[in-house]
Amino acid sequence: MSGWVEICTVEDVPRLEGRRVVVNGFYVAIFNTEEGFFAIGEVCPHMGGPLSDGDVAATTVSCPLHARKIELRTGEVQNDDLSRVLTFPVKVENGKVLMDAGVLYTQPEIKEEGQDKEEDVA
Amino acid sequence: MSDKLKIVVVGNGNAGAALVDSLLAKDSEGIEITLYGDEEVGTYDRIRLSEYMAGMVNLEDLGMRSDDWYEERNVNFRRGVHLEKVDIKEQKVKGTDDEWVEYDRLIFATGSSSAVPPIEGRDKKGVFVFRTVRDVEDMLEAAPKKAVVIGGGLLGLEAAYGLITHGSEVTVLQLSGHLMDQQLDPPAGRMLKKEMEKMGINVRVEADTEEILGNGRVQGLRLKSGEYLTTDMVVICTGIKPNSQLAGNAGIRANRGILVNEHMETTAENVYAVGECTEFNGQLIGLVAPALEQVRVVVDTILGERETSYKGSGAATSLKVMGIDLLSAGNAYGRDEGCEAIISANPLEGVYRKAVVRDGKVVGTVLLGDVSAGPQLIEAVKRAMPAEEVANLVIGNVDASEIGSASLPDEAQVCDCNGISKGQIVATIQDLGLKKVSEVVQETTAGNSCGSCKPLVGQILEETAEEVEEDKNYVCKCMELMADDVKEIVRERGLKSVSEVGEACGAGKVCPDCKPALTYIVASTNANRHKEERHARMINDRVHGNIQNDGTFSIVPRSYGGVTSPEQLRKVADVAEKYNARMIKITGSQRLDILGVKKEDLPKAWEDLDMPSGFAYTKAFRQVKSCVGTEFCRFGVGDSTNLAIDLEKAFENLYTPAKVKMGCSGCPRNCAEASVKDIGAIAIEGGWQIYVGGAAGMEVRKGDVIATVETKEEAQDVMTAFMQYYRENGHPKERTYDFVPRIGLDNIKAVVLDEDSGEPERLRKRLREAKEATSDPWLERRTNMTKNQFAGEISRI
Repeated sequence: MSGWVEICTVEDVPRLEGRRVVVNGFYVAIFNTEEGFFAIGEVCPHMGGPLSDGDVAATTVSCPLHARKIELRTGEVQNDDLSRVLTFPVKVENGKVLMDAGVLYTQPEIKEEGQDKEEDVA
Repeated sequence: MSDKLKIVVVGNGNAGAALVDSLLAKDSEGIEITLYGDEEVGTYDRIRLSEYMAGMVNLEDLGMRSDDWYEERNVNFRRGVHLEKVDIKEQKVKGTDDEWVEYDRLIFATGSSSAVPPIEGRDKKGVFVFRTVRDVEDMLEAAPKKAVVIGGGLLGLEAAYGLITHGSEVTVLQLSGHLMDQQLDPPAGRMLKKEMEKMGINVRVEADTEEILGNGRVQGLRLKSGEYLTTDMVVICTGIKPNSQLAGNAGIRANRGILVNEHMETTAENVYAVGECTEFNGQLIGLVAPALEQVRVVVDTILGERETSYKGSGAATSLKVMGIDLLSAGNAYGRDEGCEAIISANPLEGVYRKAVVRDGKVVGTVLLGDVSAGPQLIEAVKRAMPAEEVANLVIGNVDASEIGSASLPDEAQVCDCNGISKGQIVATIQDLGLKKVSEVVQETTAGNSCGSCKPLVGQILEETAEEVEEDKNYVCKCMELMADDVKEIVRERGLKSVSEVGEACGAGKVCPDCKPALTYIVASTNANRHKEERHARMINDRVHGNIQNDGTFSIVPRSYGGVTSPEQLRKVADVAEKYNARMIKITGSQRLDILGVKKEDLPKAWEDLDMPSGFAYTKAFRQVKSCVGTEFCRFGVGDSTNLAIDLEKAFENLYTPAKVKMGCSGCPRNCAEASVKDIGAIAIEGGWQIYVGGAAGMEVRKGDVIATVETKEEAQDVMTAFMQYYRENGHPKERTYDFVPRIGLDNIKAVVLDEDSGEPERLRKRLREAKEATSDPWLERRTNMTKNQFAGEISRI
């Protein structure tokens, strides 16, 4: 299922930097690189660092906490044996950045805390 | 009934513990060990007690072993049991647990006790010895304002050092005319005294204590000279006496120590002794190295071939914790007839080298201030090498690095920290075909602890490997560019930004690792009149806070010289509450750290604080730690607080190759720890001593005194000139403790101190010029530098 959503304008993310967006409750990191925009999961698989605060060059980002280097096109961690980071298709149209967030909408709804507790009791 | 060899070990100190290890390593199946240890705690590394006392290590680091450890290895450890009876005829022993245990082999490793001379008043409260973990803990708990250490040997100096690190005012009393008189000759002892005094430890020689005074607890002490000293604590470190009584009572021959032969056998059959409880050829030992050698010998005697033999102590001593380079081995005095000495001394720089020679052979050595020739000289002592082979080394005609490692035999220990011999290093280089020092360090572990043997490792590599590759310190690994290459490109082509550097040479284009370093080069080469690009700085410098493990940031505002005010404290408290900070921490550099603030709250928090950034998050000038100097302190001789404030105002907002921490102390007690800062000033009577290249972090290095000047203004001038010299010549990420040795103190002095040349003033001018183009980065809260600079998230969908 595809689900293109507009997440920001091209000016919102400075060149060679990243910023965080929240889509359906999920943190996504969006990067403005010389090869175009990329969107990947925000959380570093190493120790949870915020990848949108990382350092960008070519099509990689280095996590700001412990410098795990992630290839933005594939989500692969280049310098450690860790699981891949989720990647999302991105396109730019009329100065807007769009991302295919379909996979994020296939997740179950987040229930209110109160409901959760009742279920637990039941 | 088991047919295993029953071994009873008495004593669980360094020797006892090493003995158990070695026995198990040799034959864990065929033996059954019973171990008596009368301290309540398990074994620990007693030689590191001083580090424990100085707070450098904790109990686990001392190698404390749990009951499980013994259980897993089938060692019957009788903790806290004191051995009372030994029956050498029936071959059995009985301890305070009242149980007879039979043995096939009995090994005494009962160690030694502090020898307390019969000084009147030695039983008063507040009188300590320095021997066990318990002693250390009791001393620290007493936290004396003033302490007197009786005994200026190795142990006494270490106790003194431990006490000053806890803020006590310490005086060491030495009976003879110089410190460490067992290991050092008088000139070296006198130089050591000077070094100790620089650290703030008072030393009195030829001081004979007559009586410890006080009503029930220590209040003072009277010397035989009639002089009176006030003190809250007395620590007696006058020597040790072997614990040989138990063996003596059992009919084993003991003199001062238990008599042993070269196989560590006592006069009783199947009974052995090792360590400080022994006496060999009239020689007692008080150091761990010979004890460990004895352990190796006794294991071979009992479980092996009985081929190795102990030849007596030629052991080397070095000061462990105090940052003093000192080494002595073998016969350091050379007082005996027929001894001659090769000596070179430069008391001005605190360097002293000596080799004691008998019949043309090297029999002892003392090195102070410069121990680079240590490995060669220790080896020369061990093998009684001809004196001419090391004479030039001692005189200083050749550098240790020049004569190379070829003279060292394979068994010579190269890395004392990890116990790696030259032979092991050579074999590893050959087996794996290593070419770089970094590879050798990684594969052998030699040099990965303190690093002091790395030059020697480098020599061995050069002499062993067919091809040696330099460990290049590339600033950009992808393009293999050195910092100087990039500087040259920037300067020659007048580049103003990291992007331009990337276009010019490719650096920073493939991976982001070098971009912060490129930023420093571009900024410093252009006196901060460069084109700032935030993508070329890491997150800390994009939002001017230190990123924490949960993605929040810390805020350390600048408080000049570590001085704050009620108003500032209120603001800090309010900000911490308002933005739900997880913690306020007082940092080691006398500042307040508000931890756990969200990125999006940083601008508001800074606005509320209205204080400038303390730059605690980046490679920049950090702060100047100070004491209260002449303003309050009754010992102050210099206005350290105001010097610190002036310096901090002169250097704030300046980036540097690596972080720069500074300190100003108002007297030689050095409460601001200025001698272990990148740049420091210590007030002395009538002036200031300026230190550079000190550190007390990952590396510990005592700074070098670059100058002694008369006025505060001169002090600031020298520090400013050095600062700019480092900013211009330091490699990115190179701390001053690497920079100063790399350039050489004399070379730095030649530039930074030569006012007649005009260069120091030019350096200061360039620093001021660079400073003019900076501002408080926290003002970006009002005018953001980049779009969405502090946004937590830019959209929510």
